[in-house]
Amino acid sequence: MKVALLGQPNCGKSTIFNAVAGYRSATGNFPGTTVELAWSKVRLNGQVIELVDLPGIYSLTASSPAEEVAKKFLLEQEVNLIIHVMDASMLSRSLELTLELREMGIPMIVCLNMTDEARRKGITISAPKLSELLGLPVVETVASRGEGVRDLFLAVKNPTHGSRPVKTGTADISWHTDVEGAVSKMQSSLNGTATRNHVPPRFVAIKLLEGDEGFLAAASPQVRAAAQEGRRSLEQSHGRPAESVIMSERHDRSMHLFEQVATLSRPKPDFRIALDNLLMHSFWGYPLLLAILGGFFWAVFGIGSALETAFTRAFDAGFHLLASGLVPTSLAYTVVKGVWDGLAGGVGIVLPYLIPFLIGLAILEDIGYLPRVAYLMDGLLHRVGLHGTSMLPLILGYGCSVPACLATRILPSRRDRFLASVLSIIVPCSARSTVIFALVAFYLGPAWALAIYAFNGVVVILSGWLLTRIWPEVSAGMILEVPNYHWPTLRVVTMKTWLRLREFVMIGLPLLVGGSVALGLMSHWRLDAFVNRAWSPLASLLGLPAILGTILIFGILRKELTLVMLVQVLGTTHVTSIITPAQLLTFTVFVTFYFPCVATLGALLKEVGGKLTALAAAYTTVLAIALSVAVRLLSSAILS
Amino acid sequence: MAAAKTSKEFSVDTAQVTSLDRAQERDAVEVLEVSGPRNVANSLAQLGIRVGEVLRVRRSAPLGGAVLVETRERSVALGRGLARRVKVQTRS
Repeated sequence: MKVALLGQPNCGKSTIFNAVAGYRSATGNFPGTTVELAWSKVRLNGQVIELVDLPGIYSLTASSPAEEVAKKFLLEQEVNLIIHVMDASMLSRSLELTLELREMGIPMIVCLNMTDEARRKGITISAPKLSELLGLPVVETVASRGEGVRDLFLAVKNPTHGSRPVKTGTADISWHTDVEGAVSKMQSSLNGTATRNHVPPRFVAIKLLEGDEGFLAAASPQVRAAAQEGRRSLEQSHGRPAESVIMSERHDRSMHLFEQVATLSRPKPDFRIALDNLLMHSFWGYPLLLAILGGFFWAVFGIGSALETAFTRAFDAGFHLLASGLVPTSLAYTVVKGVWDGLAGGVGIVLPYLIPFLIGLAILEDIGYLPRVAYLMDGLLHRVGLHGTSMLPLILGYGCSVPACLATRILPSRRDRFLASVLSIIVPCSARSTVIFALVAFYLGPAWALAIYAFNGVVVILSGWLLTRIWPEVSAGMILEVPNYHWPTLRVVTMKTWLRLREFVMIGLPLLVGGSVALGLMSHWRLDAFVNRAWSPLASLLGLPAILGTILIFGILRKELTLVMLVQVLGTTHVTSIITPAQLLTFTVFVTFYFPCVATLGALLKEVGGKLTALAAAYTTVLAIALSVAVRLLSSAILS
Repeated sequence: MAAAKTSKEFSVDTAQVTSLDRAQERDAVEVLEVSGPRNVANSLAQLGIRVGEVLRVRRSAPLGGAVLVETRERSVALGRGLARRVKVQTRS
């Protein structure tokens, strides 16, 4: 049995999905986060159902990639049941989608979620009345607290409406006479033509009148002509395009439904409005933004450095015990040291910064602060040819470039997607951040690390400006829903953090260990001399010892390797005893900007194709070289 | 019909026609027209910004930044250029 979860963005549908399917998808309090499908097999009282979390959509008119995906899925896959999740505090708007979905004729259960928010806004909804008017089962839930989810899935197992098993919304909700006339006229001209198996003719007729490209393309010339005629007549009699007329009909019906089922009373006083007066303030919003990000930074560094010091001490001591019986020049020793160094690096240096970083990012996301950041920054971004919705890939880029590149799918044009991808890989991902924290912050002080982030920010903006000059295009403009704040839930934050952490533990850590061992073996068999000699022109340009060359190549595999191997190669964790602060800074700046890791290359290839990926990689490397040389020259003057 | 339409426009003598980016904050405005490509108008409509709807401009970011608009149930942040395309009329 195939069940699809469908609903508008931010209705809590992904929370429901995760409640039954486990940690399979990531939710975000930022519309457009779920652009990919997440699916899972779920066992319900002995029966296994396939549950799919479709991207959040506002309607089935396919004006965005997310809607394309959802529509395609519903039309092409054999979906047995739709769970339509609605934000109860936005019922009238949500009902428009409900009415559209009903037209598809797929059995459906309505889930009225966030009833606590509705109550807070003073909206009381009669679920039984709604169920009666729609002809569909309605279940009330508060998914963030887990309330009602069990009842929802009990209804999935036995979808009944009253005592009858539900087929489709059988209650009559028809439109104004003249529009209905146009629809039935369209429907009759479809008679005899083959439509896709389970799609009701009424749905096809409406879609054709709306001017849906997919349906028009699949139709015969006669049907297409009939659709053209139908649209024209609607447009003539209403003075507006046909799809606008149809949208108004749904709007009318949903308002009517809403008025019949909801009673409004005085909303409870909400401190969140006062919070927004502060955080979105025309002036104070900006220093507060810096303060919040700065606070985040300081917290990550504080926790990370404390843990790092403790862990590395433990690992150092552990190694002495471990290697006590081995001869330092033997192969065994090299391998053991390689493994240990990899583990020490991954667990002792990377994790202390990675974990607080991911938790902090998840909290910021869940609270709902990120759309406000987009609001504050849109003006500036627009000047560099982007708009506020490009903030999402950029912000995700601070976690990992891979989901950032995937998130560019929400942007309308190819050029926007390329621009956002390039900028999101220039932004330091958590791996690169770990390098910044563990090297620069730890040895030179947090102020220097903050300086790198600020410097990086300026470079991102200038790159955006530059790339816009080269590939100009009028940006459509930001349209972004700004949802209400809500307390971060432990469940969601843990889930999101674990999801990203799991990737590191399962893939990153083994790569770190493998890489360390490889490096150890290379030096054991004197192979590294080759590579270092090949690198020496670049190394001398950057003023770095040649051994760091090999490390930077490994960094293409995984950025944390640069950190772990630096420590390994220099033979001690007291790095500043061997290379100067200026060299440390230069090295870190290079690592911050250069060539993306293989995982990112893969994501880029998927999103923008080979040519643009090569361009992006080349740009970042040239940028890295130029900036590191500049930093080298400047810092020898200041730091030495 | 035409007479009724005209009298509607003139009857509210304190009504002002402007674009969304220039509307006064906190004023309730009614959307008269949304210009520009159809897919943009559709995206706006889906979020509740369409002809006939009543909106309220909550705030705007400085230096030509975004505009935060409140529809019946949602708050929507719009790029300034987009807001300029929405013609509105203040209701007194």
